[in-house]
Amino acid sequence: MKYQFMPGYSILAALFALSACQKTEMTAAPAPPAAASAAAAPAATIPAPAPPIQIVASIQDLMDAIIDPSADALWDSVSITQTAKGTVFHQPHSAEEWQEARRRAIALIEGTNLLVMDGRKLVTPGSPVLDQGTSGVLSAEEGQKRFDAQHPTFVQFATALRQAASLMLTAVDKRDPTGMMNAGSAMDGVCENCHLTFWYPNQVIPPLPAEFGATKRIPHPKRIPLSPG
Amino acid sequence: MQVTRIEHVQLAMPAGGEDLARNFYSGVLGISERPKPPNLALRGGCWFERGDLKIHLGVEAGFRPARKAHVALLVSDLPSLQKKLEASGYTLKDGELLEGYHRIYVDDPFGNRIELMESN
Repeated sequence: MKYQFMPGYSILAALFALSACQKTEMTAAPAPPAAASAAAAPAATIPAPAPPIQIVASIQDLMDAIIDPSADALWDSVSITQTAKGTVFHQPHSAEEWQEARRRAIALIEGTNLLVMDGRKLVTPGSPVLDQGTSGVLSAEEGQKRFDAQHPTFVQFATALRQAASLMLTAVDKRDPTGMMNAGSAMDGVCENCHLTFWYPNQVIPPLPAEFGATKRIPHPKRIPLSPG
Repeated sequence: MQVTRIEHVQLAMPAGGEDLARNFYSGVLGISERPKPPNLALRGGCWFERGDLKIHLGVEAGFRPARKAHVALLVSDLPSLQKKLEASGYTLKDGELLEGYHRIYVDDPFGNRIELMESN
């Protein structure tokens, strides 16, 4: 299960939050040194310096706006497909296509730094997980509780994703589609296991329908009849 | 020194086979997936665990399915599982007589031989 949210909704929400340009409950930056400046001059005449870092978006917003689109573009940029006419290889060819892959790898690498910033919430407080209600998916509150309790594990997953994305960047710079495939597999492994930890730990996977393979029984001469049931 | 018990077994699978593994081991056999630790998640593969039952699928370059070597799993209500496997398109093969057990064989999606046993 890959990361799929309603992009329009989230992007609009993120843009609104950015344009509002105000602190939210997620703000993690330290308060300005008001005491020192108050002693030197009236507070009304010297505006407090803006904090150098301000947390605006949630993990969910970052996934929707940066991580998922970047990873999807990289996964989609190289593939091997078996068709009735043979094997079809897909990879970047033009300089612009390689440059686009590079941009996506850079966004993904740096995006992992945003993920691990102290004070960032899993979901904007008061907002739901966008696919809440899907079987196995934690509610925003359940997810936040787990996120807080296991934050070092989340940081390790983000670090592992950065490593995988860095392998992707190296492969892109070498124009190595096989390396990109390998890096893409590593990225997928990290994403899936992080999601399994923090997003849908209770997922239940239904069995595949029969059309995925012919049912064929091969009886053994000494078969023991199974009891009905 | 004493070897005490099996902690887990690992089966090999080809790169990119995680979803197929999930459909078989979790979807059909009903063993939940447990997240791999972050440092191991980079390698791909997936872990299926319930209590002491731990089957790990690891990606192997140049993968070849285990056709002879196999894991034997004790199950309850083998006939129901058999129906579930058949409904999902899996080919079953009856095992030779083994006193005290009903047993069948099935290949996982990668061709690894799996034995399913129920005491009678």
